[in-house]
Amino acid sequence: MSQENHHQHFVPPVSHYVGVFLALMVFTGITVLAAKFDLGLLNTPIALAIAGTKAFMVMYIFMELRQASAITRMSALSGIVFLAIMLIMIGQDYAARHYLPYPANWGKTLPNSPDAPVPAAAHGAPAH
Amino acid sequence: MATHAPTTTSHGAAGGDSHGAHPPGFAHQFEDIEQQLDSTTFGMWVFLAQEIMFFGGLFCGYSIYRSMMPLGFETASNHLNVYLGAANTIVLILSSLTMALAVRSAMLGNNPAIVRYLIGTLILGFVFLGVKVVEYTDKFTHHLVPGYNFQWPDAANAGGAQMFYVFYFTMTGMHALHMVIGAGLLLYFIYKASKGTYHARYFGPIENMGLYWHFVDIVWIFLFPLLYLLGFNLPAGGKH
Repeated sequence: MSQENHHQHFVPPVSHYVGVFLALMVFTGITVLAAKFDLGLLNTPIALAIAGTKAFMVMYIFMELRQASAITRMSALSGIVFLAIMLIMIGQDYAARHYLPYPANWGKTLPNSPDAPVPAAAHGAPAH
Repeated sequence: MATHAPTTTSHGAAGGDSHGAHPPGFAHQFEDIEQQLDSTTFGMWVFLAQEIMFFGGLFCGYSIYRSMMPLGFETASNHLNVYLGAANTIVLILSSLTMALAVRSAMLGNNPAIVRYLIGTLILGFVFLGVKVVEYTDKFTHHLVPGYNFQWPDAANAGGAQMFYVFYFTMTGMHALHMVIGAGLLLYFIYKASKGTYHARYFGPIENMGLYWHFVDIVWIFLFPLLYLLGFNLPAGGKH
């Protein structure tokens, strides 16, 4: 039951986990405190940096990436990488789309398209 | 159904592993129980990568609409109760601690300790959901539910404020749904551990339960500043 397994799965003492918990509490306090002040554009980056640090601590210690295999670490990283790709590409689209010229008839319904509104005269008068 | 005789001869001798019979919990499609643990952990992380993308879409939508309606988002955020949000953050991180200690107990094969820590995790999860019920009730009574009874005095920012609450309810609602599913899974694992299922070489299911719970904790770690702390620096006059 104790150290007789050959897998060498290191089991940290309870104090490690409690230490991480206390660090997470400290960071929670810091982020609430920092949010109380109006730092202009810096508020959100600071909050996200603290949240990222907390998330890293949870992943590294609680989720045991510290002692995980390479392929496990890579799959954890892949989720973050693909999230970054999604945020960057959608973000640059929304940030840049107002600056680019586009054809003047975009967004307007063409007169002979099936979606074009029926002319008012066609309603009442039957075909002759 | 494979007989276990070939497995023991080929792998028992190769790795210098002297254990003859399969340890309890071993599934026969795996080479040995160590490979079983590696495979299930890897599979769980692939699932979590998919979960990151799922919540990532919500965070992405939040970012875009907040960039379009910054004032509406800030004033709407100011109405959220930061102290309830912070209390829930503490509760959830504490539940992550008990969950991590349950996984540690599983690695040591201590089933009674697993049961104790998982029950602690479950209770903390219910405390979180209870606080969430109080907060949601407040939104219903203060006419802050989009599409149901939304009212906002500042007409210029009413659209942005309503959009903020769309994201508030969607994101915290999906997060709470994950908590409810996690609570159901906890009940199952409490039952299994009470039967003495796990031992020092078979703890993968508890470990994966922990990975899921910690992931839900991480989502909240990002939700708390983005939703609750966004308007915290505004004067309380932002409330109505």
